[in-house]
Amino acid sequence: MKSLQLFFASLISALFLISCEKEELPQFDNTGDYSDGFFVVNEGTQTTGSISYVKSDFSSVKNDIFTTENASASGIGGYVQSVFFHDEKAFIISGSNLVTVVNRNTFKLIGRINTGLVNPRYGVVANGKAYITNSNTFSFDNAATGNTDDFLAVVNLETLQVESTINMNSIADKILLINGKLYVSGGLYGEGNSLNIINPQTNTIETTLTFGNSPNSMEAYNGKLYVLSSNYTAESQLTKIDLSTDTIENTITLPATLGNAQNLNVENNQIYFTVGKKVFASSIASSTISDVPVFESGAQNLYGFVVKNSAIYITDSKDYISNGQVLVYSTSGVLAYQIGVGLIPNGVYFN
Amino acid sequence: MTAKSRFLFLMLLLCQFALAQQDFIVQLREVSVTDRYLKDFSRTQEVTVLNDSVIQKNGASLTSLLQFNSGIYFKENGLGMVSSAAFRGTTAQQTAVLWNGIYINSVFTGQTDFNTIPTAGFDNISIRSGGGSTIYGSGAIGGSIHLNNKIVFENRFTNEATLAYGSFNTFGAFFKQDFANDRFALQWSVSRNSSSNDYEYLGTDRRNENGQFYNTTLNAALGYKINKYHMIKYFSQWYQGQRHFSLYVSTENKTKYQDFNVRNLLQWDWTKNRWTSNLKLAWLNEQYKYFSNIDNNHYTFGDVSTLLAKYALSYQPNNKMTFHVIGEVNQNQGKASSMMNSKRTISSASLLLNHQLHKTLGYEFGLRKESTSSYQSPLLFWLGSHYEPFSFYQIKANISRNFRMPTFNDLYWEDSGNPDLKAEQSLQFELGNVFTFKKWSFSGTFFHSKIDDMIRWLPNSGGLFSPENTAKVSIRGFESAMNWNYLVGRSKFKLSGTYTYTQSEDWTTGHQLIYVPFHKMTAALAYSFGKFAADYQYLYNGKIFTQSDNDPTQTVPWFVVSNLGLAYHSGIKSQYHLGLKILNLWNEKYQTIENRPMPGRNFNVYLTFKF
Repeated sequence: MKSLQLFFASLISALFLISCEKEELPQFDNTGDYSDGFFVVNEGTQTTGSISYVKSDFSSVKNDIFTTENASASGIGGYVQSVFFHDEKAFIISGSNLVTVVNRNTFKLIGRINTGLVNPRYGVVANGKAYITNSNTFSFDNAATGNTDDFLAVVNLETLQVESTINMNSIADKILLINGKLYVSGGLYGEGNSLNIINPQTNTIETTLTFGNSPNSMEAYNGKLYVLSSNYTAESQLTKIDLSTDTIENTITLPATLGNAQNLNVENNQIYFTVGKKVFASSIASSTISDVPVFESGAQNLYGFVVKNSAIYITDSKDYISNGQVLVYSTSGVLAYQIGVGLIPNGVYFN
Repeated sequence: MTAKSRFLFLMLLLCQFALAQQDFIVQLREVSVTDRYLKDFSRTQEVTVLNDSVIQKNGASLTSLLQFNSGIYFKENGLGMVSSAAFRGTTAQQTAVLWNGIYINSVFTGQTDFNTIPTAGFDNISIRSGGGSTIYGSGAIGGSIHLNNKIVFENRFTNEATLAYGSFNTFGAFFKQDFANDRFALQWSVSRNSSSNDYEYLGTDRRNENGQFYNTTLNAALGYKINKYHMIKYFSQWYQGQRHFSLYVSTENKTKYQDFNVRNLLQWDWTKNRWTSNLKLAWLNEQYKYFSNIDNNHYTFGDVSTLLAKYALSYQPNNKMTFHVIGEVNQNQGKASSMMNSKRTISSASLLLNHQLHKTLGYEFGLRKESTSSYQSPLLFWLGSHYEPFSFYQIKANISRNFRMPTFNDLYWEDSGNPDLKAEQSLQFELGNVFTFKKWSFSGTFFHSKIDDMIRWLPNSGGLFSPENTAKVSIRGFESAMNWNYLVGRSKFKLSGTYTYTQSEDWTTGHQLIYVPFHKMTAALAYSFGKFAADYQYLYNGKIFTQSDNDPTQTVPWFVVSNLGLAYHSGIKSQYHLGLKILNLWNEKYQTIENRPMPGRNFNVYLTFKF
């Protein structure tokens, strides 16, 4: 009995020591090399957000790398939303209607897209142009047109000017390039229920698919596009789209206990998503989805969620007025790393 | 008789002499006070009165007046932009603002934007420190700010006009007319302020973009004595303003905000023998329009009206005791872009008592209970005692329970509003010492409060931001004020100052609340010589944390700002005042909110004509 207690005590203290160690990643000083690791987007304040960088072996972290590498330049803007890459460039999208273009390996400033954007969200490069979704007016600012005036800005990569816009007649949020076509999800804050498929050769909408709920995340996997839809009241839905025909193959309605499911990721034939702080997984072959979580994360507020190489990366925005953290778990829910980052981290992007 | 007791005896005589003088003045001109609780039920707390001459010396908005003349910290989103208070370490919703005794914090947000209140139309502005919910209702946790118009019955007809112009194309105009005899009094005023507000951000190549604003205010106060016993009073204020909100980043959407506030108060006073009856009827309307992108014409709006009926009956069994019984019904009704038409009715009953037990010892006591179906509200109490062992020294102690009701946004915001909220409540204690001598006075007050059920908007289990009663705060602090007057020949000196130390900690983390400075100090030195006057204002504000984890790299640094004013007065019957203000004299780079720079050295010239 005594030995058992001792065993548990030592196990707990060992766990404690390990987790303590993990919290304190050293700040690395050799600047100028960000090629082997991942970036964390910290939304920050209305004036400025920041980008953190973590080495892929988790040996070090560096916060606010844009300021480090470009001390005399003005900032990347406030409420930083997302990052996308093309060749050696990284494009940092901020809610200040500003995209900052940097070298993805050195993080030195290359240029800025600073006109023609209105509440930009996500971007991708296709056919030699950058395509950036813009929320334009939000529905809470104008219910009449807020959800129908969103547009895609088509940006010339040489001049960094918006060349043309494509009106989406719906919400435009996440954007993926798959087989030479653009897939733009039409859901935000539980509103909108469509997905537009655009041909970047003609810059026209070729197909519009609609769902029973509001799409919030999507991922292409083995010739299929998986789309997770939800809002604050109805049951969440998982829709599988056949990418060869761009038609809906099937839809699974999630149990009512999994309301407002978010953050769909597909890896190793597993579908991952989150509800609140809980992480769920299911085989892509399964026709039903269980409401038993794999684990509940230790995040105060789970904000971003990415599954990559059998590891789960969760960004914790905490109370939105203190520095956040990135929690790295195994796919079974064992905490491996806990990394302090900037204000309101919303996602990780692997370089 | 020892020298000491002789000294005390002399002081006593002096005080009586001073009182006698006051009586003499009162007989000449009768001043009717609308908010009598400020005098009769605030003896165990600190009340600072800023009269019209102080008001005129300061900036046009309530923010600049109080920032430089009190221990209250103001969070200003750049000059003229949205501004809120942190009074004794509390949040913006925990300072009540009362207009002639009526609560005017926004029904939607629960706070007052101190840059939407021009000071020019008021006869005095008082700062009452500490808990006052038993008397003034919701929000009087850190303290309360009282905007008062006086009704004076005396034969007079006076006019006052001021024109002001300053840096950044800042324009101000004010006109006031007083007309009164021994039965009728009317005072009305109009003020207009506008500014391009495109100041430079010191140390950068940026300017304050999209920060222009204007506002217009009409004030009226009317009193009529029907007979010896009955009096009717009417107060009205009309405010209309538009502000473009200055940009954080040049590329972001330009926004603007329009306010429209109307306040009306009708009061009937009846006094006979030892009885006083007082009926107040008020109608308030609050409207805003917010344009999130001025390139298109879309806006969100809010429109809410308040109807209030308040009856107070007081009885004085003798000269040492006063009882008040008060009943109040308050109804808010309104809607907004993200809010269905919502209605809330609150009734309350309260009992107040003050009693002078002895020449040197008195106490005051109050109870209040609200009844509403909209939220849970605690039983409020308030108990204080004051003791004057010596004529130059007074000690006061006060304990009270206070509350802040959930706002319309907290309760009724589409999808997010939480109908199950409780009121925020605080239990507070304070101990004050006041020293008063002929040429100087000093007061020092220790305060301690615990605030529970603080409402915070956080993501709920479904990911939607929603308000919850979650946080607890413990506040300890010390607040002091001093005044010194000195007269030599034709030279008059007046020195006044405040210092406040505030430790306001989140109960669970032990961290200082964001946007609450530990230290704040103000000082003002006024000098006059015949027709010339000069005054110097000084403000020290300690470091502020901007994040709840108190990350030492995320702060608003401490700053010191000084203003200099020069004035020349001329004329006896008709008077002219010509003045120059140099604001931020030493061209300090400072801000009260992160990334919201305030202007560097700037100038303002004004001319006032009284006839």
